[in-house]
Amino acid sequence: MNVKNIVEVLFHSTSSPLTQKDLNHVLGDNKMKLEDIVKDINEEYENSEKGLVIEKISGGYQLLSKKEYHFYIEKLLKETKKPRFSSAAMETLSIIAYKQPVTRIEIEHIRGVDSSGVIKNLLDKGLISIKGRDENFGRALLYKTTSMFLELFGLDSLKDLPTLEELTDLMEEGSQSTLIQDEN
Amino acid sequence: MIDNNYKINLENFQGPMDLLLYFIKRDRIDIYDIPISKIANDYLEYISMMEMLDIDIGAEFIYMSTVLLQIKARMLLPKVIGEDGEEIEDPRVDLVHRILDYKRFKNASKDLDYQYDSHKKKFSKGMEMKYDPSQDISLYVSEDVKLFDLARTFKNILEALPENNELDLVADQIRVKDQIVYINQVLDDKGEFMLTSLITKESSRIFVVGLFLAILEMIRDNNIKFKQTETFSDIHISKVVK
Repeated sequence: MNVKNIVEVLFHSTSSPLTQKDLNHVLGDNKMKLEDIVKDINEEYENSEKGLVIEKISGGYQLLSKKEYHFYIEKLLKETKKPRFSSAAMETLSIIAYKQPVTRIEIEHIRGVDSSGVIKNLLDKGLISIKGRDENFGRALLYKTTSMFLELFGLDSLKDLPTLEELTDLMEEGSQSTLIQDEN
Repeated sequence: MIDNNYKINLENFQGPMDLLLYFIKRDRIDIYDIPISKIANDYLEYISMMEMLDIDIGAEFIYMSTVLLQIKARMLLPKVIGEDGEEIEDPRVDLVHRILDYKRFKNASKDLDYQYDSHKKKFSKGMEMKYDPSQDISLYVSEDVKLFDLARTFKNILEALPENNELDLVADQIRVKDQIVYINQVLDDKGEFMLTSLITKESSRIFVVGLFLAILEMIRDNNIKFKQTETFSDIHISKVVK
């Protein structure tokens, strides 16, 4: 049987990202690289202008609808809209994403505000989890982001996030260029 | 009077660091040379405004005001020269570090927001089972609420009202609930309105404060959204289409 077809039906049967390990498990003795098969399928979709695309997400591959089609999906499944985050949630999530594993105290020191409610929410939603305890500082709980966080944000791994230095440069480019002009 | 027990605790109130950053951006302040006296005054003005409106601002805000006042006091002291002839550290240093640190993560959260936005229109199979938006209310806050601007506008309106407004003397019971009903009526009628169209010179302070609290509550519950073309200008309020 055609491996490409097998991979396609696997995508059809699951919502979690499909990994090389999954494919090896399914096929038994396998030497095919999932990456290559995905590339093949994507090319085929591209050529026939399909509404689907496979993306590298959370350490595996996920079959996704193209964003141009979200209107129709949301019409069919009225309640499919993904969650929206308050700025408090987004702030807390980004601190955890960049500084993990991190304690509540550290998060609150940066934000300058009680964050226990937001943390609880993010835990409940499965976007963060507890990694253990900080052995140095009063055995406080340590938080980290989950694979669901990567999935929801369309990231393959945490390495996909720009560094804080890159971000500062990026966001402050405008003001810096005026500084340089002033010097001239 | 408005129920004394009625306190609003807004989750989208981002805390003292956010407020400081807001001042710094608004006045294009050089973060490495913060005019501490001005910032402390602006800060305290906001705190008293929030207290006036009976908004529960939280201990963090009070704490930061003491930090600011402490730095302000230390700045007034003559510069201390250490034994080695070096100046003792600027009293603002810790605060500057904290603001810069906060700013870094604020940038990161904006980027993450962007990342999320660009991905959220793509759906995987069975997405609707994993993310149930009805379970989601606590995470949801309406878009980009510039609460400080809103509060500032209300403060201006209150200040513009004639003093000793006769109607203030009327022991009128205006409840926030009633004001929400009132706003909903106007919205059902017109779909949208400008804030000042609801307020006349004859409006009592209690009426205006009640209106403000009602609007805050409706924003929090995502029933209305507001737009402001420029800072402190009139506020455009419309229904959230769900």
